[in-house]
Amino acid sequence: MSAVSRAFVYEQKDSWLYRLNPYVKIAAGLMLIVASLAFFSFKKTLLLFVLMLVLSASAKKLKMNSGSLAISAPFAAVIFIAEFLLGRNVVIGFAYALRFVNLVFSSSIMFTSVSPDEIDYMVRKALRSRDFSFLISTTYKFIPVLASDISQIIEVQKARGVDFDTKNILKLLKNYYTILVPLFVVSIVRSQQLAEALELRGYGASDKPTFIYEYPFRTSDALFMILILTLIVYTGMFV
Amino acid sequence: MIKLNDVYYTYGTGYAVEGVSLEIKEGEATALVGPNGSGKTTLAKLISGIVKPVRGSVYVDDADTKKCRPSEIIRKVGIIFQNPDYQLFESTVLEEVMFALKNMGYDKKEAQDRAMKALERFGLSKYADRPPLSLSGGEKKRLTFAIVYAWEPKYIIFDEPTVGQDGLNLRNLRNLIDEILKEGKGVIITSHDMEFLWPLNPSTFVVKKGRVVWKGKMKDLFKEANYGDANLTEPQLSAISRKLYLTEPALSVEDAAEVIKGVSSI
Repeated sequence: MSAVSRAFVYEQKDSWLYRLNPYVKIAAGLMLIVASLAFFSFKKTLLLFVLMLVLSASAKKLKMNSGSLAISAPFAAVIFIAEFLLGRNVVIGFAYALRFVNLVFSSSIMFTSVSPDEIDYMVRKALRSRDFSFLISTTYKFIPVLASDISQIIEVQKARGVDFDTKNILKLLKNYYTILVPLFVVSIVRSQQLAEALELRGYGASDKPTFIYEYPFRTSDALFMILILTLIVYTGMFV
Repeated sequence: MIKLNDVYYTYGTGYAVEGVSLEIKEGEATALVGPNGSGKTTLAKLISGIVKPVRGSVYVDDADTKKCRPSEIIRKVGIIFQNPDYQLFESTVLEEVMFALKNMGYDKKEAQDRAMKALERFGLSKYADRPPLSLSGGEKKRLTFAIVYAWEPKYIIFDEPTVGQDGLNLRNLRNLIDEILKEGKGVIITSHDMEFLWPLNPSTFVVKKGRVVWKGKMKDLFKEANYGDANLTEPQLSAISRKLYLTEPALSVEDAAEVIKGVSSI
């Protein structure tokens, strides 16, 4: 998996962030995303960026999340240039560009911190529907699998002379068609295998299946929520 | 000749191939063996130019793969991947074989002739108008052989060709490899199926954690005590030859039978 795709796929690390309650991780992630959208001034966006950098580094996720910077950098550059061409102040242009970087960075922090099993747990608790929660968590789990399938199909088609490096957009789009059918076939075969494997392991045998893990709300969860909320509210109101 | 000089490759975390240098001669059988995840398939992809080394160089007959498009290299090095489902997408079997030929610039008539010849070679001509996805697993595998065979590359790489193959398909595969070698083409096989590789006695590179840890003729591999480090299973003919204290191990059942007959007649 490339560094860019790693930026949005959950990967287990041994750090304090991964030991937090999943509701807390989701709430903190959403707060960071909302703050990214709500902060407009240069100082606020910069402070939020630094806060997220510290958060990511202390949780040993900086390398993982840095892929999001690679994704957002070209778009941020376009925003900055557009603001500049519209005659805005350079600092405002920079703040708007950083705002976009913050939005992608905060999403990366959230998506890489919450595991598919935790999502399954939360959706099941909230909606009391195992099928729906399983659908969501399985979709989430299969993102890296599909990414791996796509890269393998691209390599196989390259071996048959398909040129994915062409600069002709129409030709490139036509060439990408060679990926779609195999990806569709492989995905259908895999979903059928998954369905059979689930049935063989008793999926649906009980109306009230138990949970393997429970996620209690600890003091550390409360402290983290208070800290992150305070920092965001303080930056929003007093900086 | 294919030449790898101090080649490194990474998928992002650590090196999948680390400092590999090797030479593969034309018209010879070559085996890249080693445990799962050792870097065999990555080496095969590097040789076929599908991926480029991050350090070092790969030359296919003086063409530097870093400076060429994959479509240029694959004319000389065809690679047959393990999973047929990753490549089949055309409406008919014939079109599936013609697809690569069209990419290489063959006109329709020649592409069709070559495709039909390849399908006949692999016993698939009767399915020419059928959708490729309707073929059985073994037929799909044969179709992937036909696809590469159609443009007659100088070297053919088989990536884990024995996985999921029954006895008949294995015999057919061995016959195919023998024929390709007789035609003077090079065959490169990535596998850990030592029983399959043994009778070919290929030039062998044992790959472990992205490095080549042993090279030589396969018949000599199991004379060395540390082959077990690479999780390889010794072929039965090799084990019997060692038990019989043969200086040159038997490469076929017939060879072994001759030796045993000789011993028992003394």
